[in-house]
Amino acid sequence: MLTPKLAFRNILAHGQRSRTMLIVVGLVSAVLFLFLSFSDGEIENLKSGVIALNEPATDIVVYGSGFKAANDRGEDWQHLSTRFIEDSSGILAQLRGLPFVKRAVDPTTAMTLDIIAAGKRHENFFMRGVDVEQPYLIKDRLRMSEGSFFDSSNRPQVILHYKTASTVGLRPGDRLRLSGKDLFGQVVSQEATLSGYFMGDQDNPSLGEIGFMNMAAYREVSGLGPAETMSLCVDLKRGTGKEGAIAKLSGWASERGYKLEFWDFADTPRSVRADDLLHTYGLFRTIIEAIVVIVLAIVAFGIMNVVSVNLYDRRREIGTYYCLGSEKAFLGRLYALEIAMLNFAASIAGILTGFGMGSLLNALDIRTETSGMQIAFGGSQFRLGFSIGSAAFIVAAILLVTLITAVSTIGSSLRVPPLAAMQDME
Amino acid sequence: MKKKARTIILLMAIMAMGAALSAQAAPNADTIIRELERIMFPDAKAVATLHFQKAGESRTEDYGMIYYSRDKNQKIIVRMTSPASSIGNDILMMDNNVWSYDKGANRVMKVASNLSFGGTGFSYGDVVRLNFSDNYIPAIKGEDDESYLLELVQKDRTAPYYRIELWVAKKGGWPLKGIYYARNGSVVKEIAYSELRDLGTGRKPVTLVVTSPLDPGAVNVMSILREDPKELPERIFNKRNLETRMEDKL
Repeated sequence: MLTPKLAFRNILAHGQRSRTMLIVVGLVSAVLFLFLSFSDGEIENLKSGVIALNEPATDIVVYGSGFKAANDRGEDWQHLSTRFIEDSSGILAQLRGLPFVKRAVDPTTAMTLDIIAAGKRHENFFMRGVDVEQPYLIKDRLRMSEGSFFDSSNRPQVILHYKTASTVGLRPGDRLRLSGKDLFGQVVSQEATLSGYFMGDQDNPSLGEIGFMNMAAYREVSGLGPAETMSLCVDLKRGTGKEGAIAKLSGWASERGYKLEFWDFADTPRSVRADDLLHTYGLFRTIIEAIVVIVLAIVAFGIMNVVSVNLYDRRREIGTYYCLGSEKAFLGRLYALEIAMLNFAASIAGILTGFGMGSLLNALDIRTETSGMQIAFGGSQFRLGFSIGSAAFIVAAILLVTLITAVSTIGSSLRVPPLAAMQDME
Repeated sequence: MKKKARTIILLMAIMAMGAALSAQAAPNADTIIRELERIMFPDAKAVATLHFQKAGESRTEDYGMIYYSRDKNQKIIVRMTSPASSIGNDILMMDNNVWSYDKGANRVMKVASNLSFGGTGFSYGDVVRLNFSDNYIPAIKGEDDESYLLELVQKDRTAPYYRIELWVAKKGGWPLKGIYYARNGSVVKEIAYSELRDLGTGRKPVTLVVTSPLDPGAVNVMSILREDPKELPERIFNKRNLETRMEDKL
C-alpha cells in the first residue's frame, strides 16, 4: 500500500510536470479515441443502413426444421424447398399473439432480378419483398424521395433507390417489367408499377442496386406458394431474454405440431453481400488501428524522453530514497506505478474529452449526399460511434506504452548514488 | 331384331378396333419428345459458336467452344476456344449446377445457373436444364401436315420454364420452333431451329436463333459446326477435370 501512496504523493508534489504529462497523453488519447470512434461510426452506419436494408435485423429467426443445417451444407433448392415453412400466415398470426413477442414478419428472400423499362434492360437489382401490413423492417430505415411507399392494393409495385432514377428513366406510376429467375431457377417476367424512389435513412452508393417490391409482386416472382416462406423474423418485447424466448417458442411450436426451429439472429449466417461490406469496412478499421499504433509508437518515444528528463531532475529525491534505505527494485516499482497512474488518468481524461467532442460533433448532424463522403462515413450522416472496445483499446495501448517506457527508462535513471542527495544540498 | 343387334355390336367392335389401330399409328407426346432428345442431345463432342448482338448496340460478341456432353445434356464440359481472352475460362454444367474455371486465379467457382452467358439470351441453366423429358409433361396440342404442336407443362417448379409450346417436325422428329412461357403466361423466349444438316449424329437443325420480347432487337445465335458421337465416361464430369482436361486423352 506504501508504493501507491508514495506514487500518488509524488504526482501531487511534482504538479507542474504531472500536469504537462497529463495534458500531452490526454490529448493524444482524445485524438486517437476520435479516430477509432470515426471507424465505429462508419460500421454503425453501415449496419443500420445498407446492411439492415440488405438483410433485415431481428431478434429471433424462425426456420423450417432442418432448413438452416441444410442451407449451411449448401444443399440445392430442390432439397431446401422441402424444408420451407408452410402456412406462414397462420404461424405469423399466432406468433404475434404470444405475450413476449413484440412483432413478427416474413422478411422474404432477396432475389437478383433485371428491370426492363422503356425497352432497356437494367441488370442485377437485388430485390426484396415487403409486407405492407408489417413494413417496419424496411420502412423504418428509409424515406421516400419521390412518389410513395407501397399502397395496400394488390397490384404488383416496386420502389427503387433514387440514384437509379436517371438510369432507368421512370417516373412514379410508370410500368416496368421484372425479369430473371425465381428462387427455384424458373424464368419469370412480371409487370409492376413503380411506386416511387427511396433514400436510405443512412444512404450509401451501395443501395443503388437495391430495390423493394410489395408482396403481390414478390409472390409472382419468387415462385413460392402464397403461404410458403424460407424464414420468419420475430422481435421480442423489451426485457425478454433471447434464450428464454427461444425455449418458449420451441415448446409452443412442438405443442402445435409445427416443425420449426428458432435461432438467435446473431447465430444465423450473414449474406455474402453483407459479409463483403463488413469485410471492406473491417479493412478500413484495421488501417485506422494501424495508424493509432504508429502514432502511439511515436508518442512512446516522447514519453520516454519526458520520463527520462523528469527522473534526471529528480536525482536528489532518488538519492534521498536510497539514503532512507530504499532498494532499487522498490524505486523501480514506485516510479513505474507513478507513470502508470498518471498515464491511466490521462487516457481516461482523454477518452472523456474525445467522447464530449464527439457528442458535440454528432449533435451538429452533419449529412452528405456525396457518394464519396457516404462511402467514407458508411452512410449519409457523419457519426462518431462510441464503443467500450475502442476505449479499452486506447487505455490498453497507453498502458503498454507506459510499460515499455518503464522498462526502457527507469532502470538507467535509477543509477544514482545515495550521495546525490547530499551533493544537491551542497 | 336379334340380327340388328348383332350388326350393331359388330359395327361397334370394328370402330373400337379402328380407334385402337389409329392410336397405335399416331405417336404419343412422350415418344415424340424422347425421339427429339435422341436427335438433339446425343452423347458427343461438338464444336459450336455463339453470336450475340445486344439491342441498339453495333458491337457483337462471338464465342467459339468445344463441348462434351452426355446424359441428354445433363453433363456438359465447355472448353472455350475463342476469343483469346476467354480461352481457359471453361465451364462444367452438371445436374442443375454450373461451375466456372477461372484460369487467371486457377480457381473453380460455382455459378448460379440462372446467370446469363455474357449477358445474352442464353443462360447456363438453359443449356443443362432444358431437358424436356425430365422437367416437363408433354401433350400433343395440335398438328398440321408438317408438324406436331406439343405443350410441355412443368413437372415441378424447378423446371426452367413454366410452359413450352414446341413445334416438332413430323418427318425427322427435330424441333422447328419453341415458345417459352413464364408462370403468368407471358412469353419470355422464342427459339427457332433451322439449317438442317448431318454433322455426324444424324440430320437435325444446327442453328438456334433465340429472340425474346423482353429484349427486342437482341440477336442470339448458336451454331453447331461439328458433332462427333462419343461415349464419354462419367468420371470426366467433375470440377477437378476443369483443370486436368482428362477428355483430351480419350
